[in-house]
Amino acid sequence: MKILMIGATGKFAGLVLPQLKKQAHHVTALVQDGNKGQQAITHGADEFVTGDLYDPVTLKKAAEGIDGIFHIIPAFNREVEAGLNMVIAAQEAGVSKFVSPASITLPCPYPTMRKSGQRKRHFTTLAWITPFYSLPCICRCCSKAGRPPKIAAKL
Amino acid sequence: MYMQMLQQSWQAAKDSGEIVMPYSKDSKMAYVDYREVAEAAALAMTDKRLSYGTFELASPGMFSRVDLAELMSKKLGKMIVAKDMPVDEWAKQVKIPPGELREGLITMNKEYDQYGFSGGNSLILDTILGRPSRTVQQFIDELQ
Repeated sequence: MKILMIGATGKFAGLVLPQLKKQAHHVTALVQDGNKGQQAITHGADEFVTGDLYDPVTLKKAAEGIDGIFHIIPAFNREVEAGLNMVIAAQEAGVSKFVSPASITLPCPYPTMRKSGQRKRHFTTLAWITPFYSLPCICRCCSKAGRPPKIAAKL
Repeated sequence: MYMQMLQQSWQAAKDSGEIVMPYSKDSKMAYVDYREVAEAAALAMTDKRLSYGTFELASPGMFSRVDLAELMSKKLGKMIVAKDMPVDEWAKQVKIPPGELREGLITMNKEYDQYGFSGGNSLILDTILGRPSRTVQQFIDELQ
């Protein structure tokens, strides 16, 4: 498969790259600049493409001709925006697989309100592998309340 | 929590005999070896068993910092002590500029302090990998 990978030079996500190569996938690393791209090549990526998770135009171009995407979202940095930009680009490009391990980076879709009126962030449990749009919340409060899966943000 | 984060605690244990984090030493945390998350993610590209699924990937058990100190003490052959650092004190020391990242980390550590970090159990990861997932004890035993 032709895989577009986010985080190929990262401390944790970088561990995914050898696993993808072990299964003989062709891996294109999405990176912010050429220097990172060269690092990705050194780590085992077949090629790189420059893009920005907050720039949908670059993601649309990067997703062309891709079969599967490994996506990881920068923690505490406009997470929903970065996630949805990639999901939309993948959908428009007809990508068949979207794999996204997440730990603390996806906010609960059922935020509660504090007395101050501020939204309280809930954290979910360990890694998820999600298909398109299916972001069920499995955090403690939702499990306890028996809340059903819910789309984290409306497209 | 990723087991790879224990490498920093391991180094601190060897250097100072203490492991310190900005949440309660009694908070129980679930762990997973990110190499196994990586393996599961790569499998998910082609393994149809994993299509349209959402999975908790965790190793067996939950561990407090006191538990980790005990495991590290056995491995190192010397007493390792788990200590607390108040989140507010940590926030004063850490060099992260004001913004979403800083506020997020403070909120996260307060959550850990109060509730720990539950991650289910290892049934799903064991099933996906087709073998028992790596335990915290095994990970610590491999540290040098």
